[in-house]
Order: sequence, then structure tokens, then C-alpha cells
Amino acid sequence: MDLPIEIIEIVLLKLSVKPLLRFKSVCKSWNILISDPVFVRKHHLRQLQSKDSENLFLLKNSEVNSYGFSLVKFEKKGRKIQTLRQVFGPYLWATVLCFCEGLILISDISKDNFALWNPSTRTQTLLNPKSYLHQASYGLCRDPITADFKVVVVGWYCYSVYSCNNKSWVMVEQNYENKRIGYRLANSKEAGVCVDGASYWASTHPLQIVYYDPRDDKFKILEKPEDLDGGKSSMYLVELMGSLGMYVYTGSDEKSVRIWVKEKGIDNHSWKELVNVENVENVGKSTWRIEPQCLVGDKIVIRTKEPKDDGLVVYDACKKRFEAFEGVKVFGRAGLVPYMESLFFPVEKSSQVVMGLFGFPI
Amino acid sequence: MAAETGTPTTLTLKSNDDELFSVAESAAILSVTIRNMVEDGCAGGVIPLDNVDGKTLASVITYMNGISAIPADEEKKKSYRDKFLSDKDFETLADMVLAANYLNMSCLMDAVSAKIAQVMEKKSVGWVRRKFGIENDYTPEEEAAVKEEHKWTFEGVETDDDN
Repeated sequence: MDLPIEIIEIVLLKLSVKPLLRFKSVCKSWNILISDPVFVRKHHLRQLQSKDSENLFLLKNSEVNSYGFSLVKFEKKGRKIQTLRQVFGPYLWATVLCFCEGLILISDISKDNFALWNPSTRTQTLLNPKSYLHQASYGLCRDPITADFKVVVVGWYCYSVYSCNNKSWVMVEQNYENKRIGYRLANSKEAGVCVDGASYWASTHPLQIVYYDPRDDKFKILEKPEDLDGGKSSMYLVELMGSLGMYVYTGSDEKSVRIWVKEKGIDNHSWKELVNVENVENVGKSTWRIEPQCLVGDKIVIRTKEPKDDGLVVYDACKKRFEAFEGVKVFGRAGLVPYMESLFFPVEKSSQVVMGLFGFPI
Repeated sequence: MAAETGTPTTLTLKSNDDELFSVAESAAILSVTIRNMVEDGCAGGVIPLDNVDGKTLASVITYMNGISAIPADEEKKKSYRDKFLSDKDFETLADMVLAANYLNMSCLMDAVSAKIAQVMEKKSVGWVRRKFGIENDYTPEEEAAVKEEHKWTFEGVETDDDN
């Protein structure tokens, strides 16, 4: 059956990464098509828009960082996760710094080596940072204009932007327009929430949301929801279903959590209230430690961060009830990272991965 | 036009192997190609579809009638499409994707191409070459190099069963 190349492209865009890389061996024209940056971008956009990657997460396998991740899917019905496969990153003792649209910025234990890792192609692009990375905060975003990924390293006095053009990193160092921004963000050591083309941070004193805009490499202030009641001392940012989510604890006893979602688009600053989670004291004794993760159906999955009870619960807003997930434990910071199939940076071979003493990649 | 007279209008479609099919206009205009012909007033007699054979056209018309009988409920439409495509073999799917493209039916195009992708997901490179009629233009060294680069993607591939 001879199908014209335009139709073959439409079909291939619907495949996941593994068969696409395999089918580079079919013939030269398929290899050229699948390697084409335009095709990579189209495939990426389709993954963002389709529901193929919905509710997929990388779940850290243990407290220590050496046991890799499980790729899991939250099941639509019930409180279960389905484990699809095991995934290993480029470093043993790796730390996930931040993540964006399927790519993960990861560092080794020395914090001298960094890589932008794509778990779906099993490849990484190594990044050689210049300085002050120990006292910094990180952001990552896909520039909506160039469609390339940018890593922003937020230092105290200035910030560096690394853009990955033509398979090599280009660094630009910039000074802040408002000097206090760098101090506040770098000091917090919180990673940026990297979603929808920008990286967002919540900062205190004053309480505001700051974002890095990759289009002009500047830090800007995002307007908060108008009817923000509560959140007197802190607000928290999180990625929710490919959008920026924000939540605050409300009420005099801070027993409810209001969650908002920002409309798509860097310049669209309007917020929509998603849900008000009541009675959080039922799942977290120290109530400030919960974190919304995703929606399954009309319920919201929440991570509870108790010292001894680091698990997942589902909140049913109609019944105002929590139900625990069975046998799921979430470890540490970035213990649950949204996963998306993407062909970005398929160029560097993963054959550099060296197996360590315990059979895990170094 | 149907809307003016209140009686359903029937169109006659002709495949490239000269089979004739009657189909309600309301169902047929799911195809933008046919809708344009109707709007241009070329639908008075028989509408010739030079790129679709009778067997494929019969299948497309079954789909047109089936999907247009379902009210605006995306879930139900999706499950109809899944069921409609579930028993089709690769050759039929390939014929249908060409027909959907020629007839400019985006919903069928989406569903059939997704189904083909689903069928391909675990297939071998050899299977794809045979089914798509593609000649391997790599030298053995080149092919080995491309395969080596993405070695892990060859794990878990189905053994070819339908030759």
C-alpha cells in the first residue's frame, strides 16, 4: 500500500516515542521525517493537546535517589495507580531540579553536572553551568516563539539563561531589573513551576507570583486572583493538567485549601477557581503540607506530606471526602513528576550511561 | 435543498469502479468535498468520486450513516468509531485513510490514522516496510548504525504473524 508522505506524517504523529525511534530504520525518508525539528514540534504539540499523556507521572522509587522511577498512570476509577515500566535517569544519586513538558532538569550529587533529560527518548543533553549553582533556583521553559527549551538559573545577583539551539547551549547572563527578586527566589531554593511557556515562583515579602518570560528573558509579576482571601502568609504553585495551579490555606484555622488554575497563555492573567478542599486536617495534621497533583474525572488527587505518611489521597468535592490510594508512597521533593512523550533532544546517545556497582546507571 | 422542502434529499455517489450508492445528503455532507459540490450545485445528477473504489466507499457510507444517526454526544460518537474500526485489517484502514483524506472528512481521518498508529505501535520494521510497500534504501552498515542508536526501541516488538 503506497500512502503519500503527507498521510504517513499524519499517522506517525499519533505514535508514541518508542516506535517512532524504531521506525527511523524503515527507510531514509522516514528517518528524515521523524528527525525533522518541525515534526518533533508538531508531535510535541499534539502530545500537549491530546489526552495520551494524561495522568502519567514518574514516581520516585525510594527515598534515596538511586533506584530510578516508575512510570505510573492514575486510574480513572478507583484509587489505584498502574505501573507501566521502570525508568532510569542519567545519574546515580540524581536530584530532579525542575521539569517541563516531558523534559527534566537533573543534577548529580556533586551539583556540578547537569543534564536536561528526556525519559521518553532515554537521552539527555548535558549542560555545563558556569557558576554559583549551589545557591540558586532553577526554571525551565519552552520558548513559545523559538520552540526551544531554556533553562534559567536564578542566582542572587544575576541570572543566567541557557538556550539549547542547534544542539549546543548558549548562555546569557542578565541583571535583575528589581534586585530583590534574585535574592528572594535564590534564597527560597524552590524550583520554578515550569508550565505553559514560562517558569513561575511564589515569593514572600511581599507575597507575589514572579515569572520568567522566555520571550524577552525578563522577570515579571503575575496578577493574583481578585478574590484571594486567605493566603496571608504563603501561597503555593503547582502544575495542574498542563496549567499553572495556585493554592492557599484559608479560614482562621487554615483547614481549607482553595485551588485556582490560571488560564492558558503567558499573557493571560485570569484565574479560575477550581475547587475548595475542606477539612484538610483529616489527611494532614500539619495542614500546610498537602499538594494537589492532578484531576481524575471530577476528583482531585492530592499528595499528603506528613513526615510518616507521605501518600496520595483523592478528594471528592461533592461529598467533601478523602479516600486514600492503596500502597502508594511518594518520596521527597519532586517525588512525582508529570510525564509526557516527547521527541525533543533525541540527538545525544544514552550509551554514555555507565552501570554502577548495584546495576543502576551512574 | 432539504431544509427548504422538508423532504430528505438523497445523493447518488459513484465509485471509480462504477458502483452507484444512494446516501442521505445530511450524512454525505460530513465530507467537505461532497458538501462543496452540493453547495456549488453540482450534485444534481451523480457525484463521481474518482479516487475511491466501491468497497471502500460502501464502508465510508456505512460510517456516514452510523455517525450522523448519533446525536451530539462525543463519547457515544467515539465509541461508535472505535467499534466501526475494530475489525478492519491494515489494507482496509489504509484505503479508508486515503478515502477520508480525499473526501476531506476530518473526524474519520483522525480516527483511522489513530487506529493505524495503534496497530503499528509494537510492529517490527520489516512489517512496516511490507505493509507500506517501502523499499529499504539503507546500506546494511547504515541500517545497523540507525538500529544501534535506538537499540532499546527494539525490545518488546511483536513477532510478525500476518504476511
